Amino acid sequence: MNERTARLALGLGLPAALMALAGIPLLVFGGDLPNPVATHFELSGRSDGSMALGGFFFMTGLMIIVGLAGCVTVALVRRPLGPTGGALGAFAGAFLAGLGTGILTATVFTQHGIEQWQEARLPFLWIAWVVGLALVAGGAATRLGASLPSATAVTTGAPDASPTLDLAPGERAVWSTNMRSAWLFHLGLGLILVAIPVTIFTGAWAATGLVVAGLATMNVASVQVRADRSGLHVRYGKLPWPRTDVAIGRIGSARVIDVKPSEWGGWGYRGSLRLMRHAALVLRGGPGMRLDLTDGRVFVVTVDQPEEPVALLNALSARQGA
Amino acid sequence: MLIRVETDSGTPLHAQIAGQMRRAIASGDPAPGQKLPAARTLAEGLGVNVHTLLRAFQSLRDEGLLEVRRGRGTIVTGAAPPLARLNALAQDLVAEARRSGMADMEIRRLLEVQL
Repeated sequence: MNERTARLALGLGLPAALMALAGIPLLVFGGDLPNPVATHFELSGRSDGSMALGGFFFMTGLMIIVGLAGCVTVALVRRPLGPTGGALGAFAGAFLAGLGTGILTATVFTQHGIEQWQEARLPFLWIAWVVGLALVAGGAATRLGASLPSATAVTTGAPDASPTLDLAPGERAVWSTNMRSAWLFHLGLGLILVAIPVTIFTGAWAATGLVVAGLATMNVASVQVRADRSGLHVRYGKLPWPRTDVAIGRIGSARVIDVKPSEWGGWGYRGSLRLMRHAALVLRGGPGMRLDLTDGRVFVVTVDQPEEPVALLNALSARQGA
Repeated sequence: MLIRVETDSGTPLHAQIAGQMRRAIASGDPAPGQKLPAARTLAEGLGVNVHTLLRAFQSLRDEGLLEVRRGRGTIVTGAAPPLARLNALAQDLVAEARRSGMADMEIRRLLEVQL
């Protein structure tokens, strides 16, 4: 299977198939379901727990949307996605979406026409359906993801990974770059748009989380990174805060590295310098710089041509310490 | 984009900055359409007066390398990269000619002879 087919299948084919599988029975039978709907069952198949119908739709819908968003993301990202070529991310997304679709269809088929949730029965076969669908979707996505280009192993301890600029005594320098990630921006926008139907089903509180997540994602999609004698500074989107400032005195050394999003927790702002002692701003896989701070913390940023800011920061921090 | 200036050199800071930016634009970073960092930010980073940066920006605007778009800020023009290289060459030519003692009128004649 060539790369283009894999991307189309993962980004369009699989999502379309799952959405049709989830959507069609819902359209046909969805109006006929009890509210609240049975969502927990004993081994015998008898129902012993329920949930508001709107909440149920929200949960399964969220699983499907988030899972498919993961698949679409893997299909859209151009850079090699680590040694597995994105198979892991694709599996996780498709499995989650398959689970959501399975639960939704199982519920629709077994509970349409029922008056009270207590009457609902879930034969064991439907459990097999749910798990089976998730595994099949996940398996298909894994195969598709594995057809995408994978990153070759790169030694991060390369001899010239830590260059230093030779700054003359009276010389001053500043380095600046802007980076944008279109798909992160659209993902954030998508999350905000999803909040609209969510508000209709479950009310404002559930939608607020999506809106906040969407805004945060959109904000981190365009960053400005600057390195100068005061240290490293990162500004996110249009907002002046939050922001990242690493004082030059805190920088122990800077290195050029190859950033694999899977190694740093994915895309966006990952981790926390304060809470987790390491953080990574990953807008795309590929070249980036790694700062090893004096207190042992680590900060990573993906930037184009990282040799320039790395060399500058090494020179400036040496000048500071001298 | 990396900007380096020498505070104790004979060349005025704004000219050094403009030269550095010209070279950066000529090599494609920042690329046409990209927004430049604010003059204030760069000035802070270099530890120079913001007017020095603004003067450098103005020179590059005059040369057609930058333009100010409402709502977007200062961006690199589409014609910039080749233009930047030529302007950098011109700046080098003038600098070397002056170093060898040529007056401005002689430098102009130097170019006219070529045309």
